[in-house]
Amino acid sequence: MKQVDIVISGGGVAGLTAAAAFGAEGFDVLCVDPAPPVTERNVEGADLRTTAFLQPARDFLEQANLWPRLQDYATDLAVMRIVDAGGPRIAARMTKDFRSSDISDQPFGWNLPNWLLRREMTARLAELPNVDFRPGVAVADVVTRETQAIVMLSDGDQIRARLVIGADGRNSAVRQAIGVGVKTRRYGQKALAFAVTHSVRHENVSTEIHRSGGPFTLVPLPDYEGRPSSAVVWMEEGAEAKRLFDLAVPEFEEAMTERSCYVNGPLKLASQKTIWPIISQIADRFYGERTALVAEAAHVVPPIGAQGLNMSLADISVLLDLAKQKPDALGSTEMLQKYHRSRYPEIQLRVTGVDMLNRASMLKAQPLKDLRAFGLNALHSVTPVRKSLMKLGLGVRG
Amino acid sequence: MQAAESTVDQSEIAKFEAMAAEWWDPNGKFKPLHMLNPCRLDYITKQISVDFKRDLDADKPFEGLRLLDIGCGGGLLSEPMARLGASVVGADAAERNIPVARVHAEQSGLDIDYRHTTAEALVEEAEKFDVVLNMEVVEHVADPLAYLTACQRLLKPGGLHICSTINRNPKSFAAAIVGAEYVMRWLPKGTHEWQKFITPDELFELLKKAGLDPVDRKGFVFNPITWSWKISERDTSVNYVTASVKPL
Repeated sequence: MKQVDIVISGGGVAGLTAAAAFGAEGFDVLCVDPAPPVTERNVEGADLRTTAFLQPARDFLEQANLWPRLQDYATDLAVMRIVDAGGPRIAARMTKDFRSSDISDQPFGWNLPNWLLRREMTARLAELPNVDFRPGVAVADVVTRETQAIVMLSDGDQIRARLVIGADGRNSAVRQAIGVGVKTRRYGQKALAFAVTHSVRHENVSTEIHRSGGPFTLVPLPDYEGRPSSAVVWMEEGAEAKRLFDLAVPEFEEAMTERSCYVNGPLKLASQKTIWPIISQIADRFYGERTALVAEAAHVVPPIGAQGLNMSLADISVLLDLAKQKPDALGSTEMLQKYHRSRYPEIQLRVTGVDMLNRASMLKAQPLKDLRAFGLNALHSVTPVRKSLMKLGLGVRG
Repeated sequence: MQAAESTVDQSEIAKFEAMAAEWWDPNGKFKPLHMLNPCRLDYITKQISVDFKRDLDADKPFEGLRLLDIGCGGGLLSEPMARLGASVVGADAAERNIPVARVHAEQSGLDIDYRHTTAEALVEEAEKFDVVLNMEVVEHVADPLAYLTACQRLLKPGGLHICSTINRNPKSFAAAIVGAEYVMRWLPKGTHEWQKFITPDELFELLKKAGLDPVDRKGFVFNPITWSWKISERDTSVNYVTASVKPL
């Protein structure tokens, strides 16, 4: 009978980070994922989204010994520019910059493409003798006992573990196996993600343009084929998003350039596109017997303000601290209840906050859009409010 | 007692058939057991499937497993276990239950070895099992430790022992005795003596002393709104079940 300390279900950025972090502390870890990670940029199934690691997340990656592999590929995010284009014409009518130099000598965050994160993180796991990463293998079922969890794998293997970490996404198989429910809010929106090149240098500015249907966000990337490049997340009402997704490249480029208010000049598509539905979701609780739920298995937010993965890494960080405090109590009810109590209220707050931002950005009615611009102006003009907001967004302050 | 079953007279058989009908009537005298049964079966089958690596979707997943059902009564657990392929011995200290269970197994077309015997007597006969089901019995015996030790000795090394009973606290007193016996009249008055109830921690200690390795406990919780039972990780305040393994 195979026995490990921890089984991690899910080999996305959260699952791989958890495997590296617990592995670095000497725990025996098995990490499984039904899909082998795509570690190249221009192939079918590549995750073209990018992740902006905010300051606390970077510290955690440092602790997990992952940052040294990643830093050379990271692009600094020094300025977050919020543009309101909610006037009758598609044009920037108010632009407000939030500068990281106001609150810190560090950038707000560092942006990396997800496919590259997977490549570097799996390479790191291969260096750890106590971590076994098995791509192409799914969790078929989990039976938990007071003393341990028994995990049935799709390859017929059965593994016993003191703790199962469900990092297997919004439709988490682990969460369903332990019978934890979720509350889901659907917006009827979809997000398109892709990379672009442009003529104007981004100067490490991340730009969020609000009009209606949801924000259009450009996040700086390293130059691609000799041209300045950015990652784009474009949120729109579902049918419109689908229409855009199906446009031929020249029409699509025209549409996105107009929607971007030409902030970086004409945009050229520089990758495939991916599309996924926007929801916000929170699990009824973040644990079950011998099981912890992290990342999107526990919470999903719309892709605004780089909150999602940074919340996820904070989950893993809290779980790791509890495991280090009492390694013998790994997976005990006491440990898992502490984890839940420490994360749930904070997550609830952030899920609500991002939900409000998203709904403000989706507004169609002109007076409400005007009110949004007025609100943005008010928040930005009062220096202490602006600085507090920035710190709150970063997660450097509860 | 008669020498062979063939000599049992027809009126006796008719009586056993009537009693079997009573045992197996979901709305009859044994209604609480029928209501609890899906929950108990769910727990038991899951525990067996993980310890013996059986796929519950297979046709006869428990084929090749020898299973003892102590306190088998009318066979409410023995029959589903036999259907899943286990080779089942059903034992009951109450003599009148045995022919009743036999008659019903025959009607169901199942081959189950029902015996009027006790755990201690089976130890004397050097019987060994992969699984011992010990459901709602331990609260009725005079010496729980001696009884659980006998259960342990009936297991092969690595074997699984599943034992359910009732907790001892004011809530279980209210639910099991006042509720089930007096208010609902589910059970005859005097079925339970509250002082004999055992808390989960006490049962874990007894199981360890008996030479078993307790690995799990869960609650069976009755919901009066949906009128059904469910398994709970946290609420073992009234009915609960444990799983223990005999060390290799």
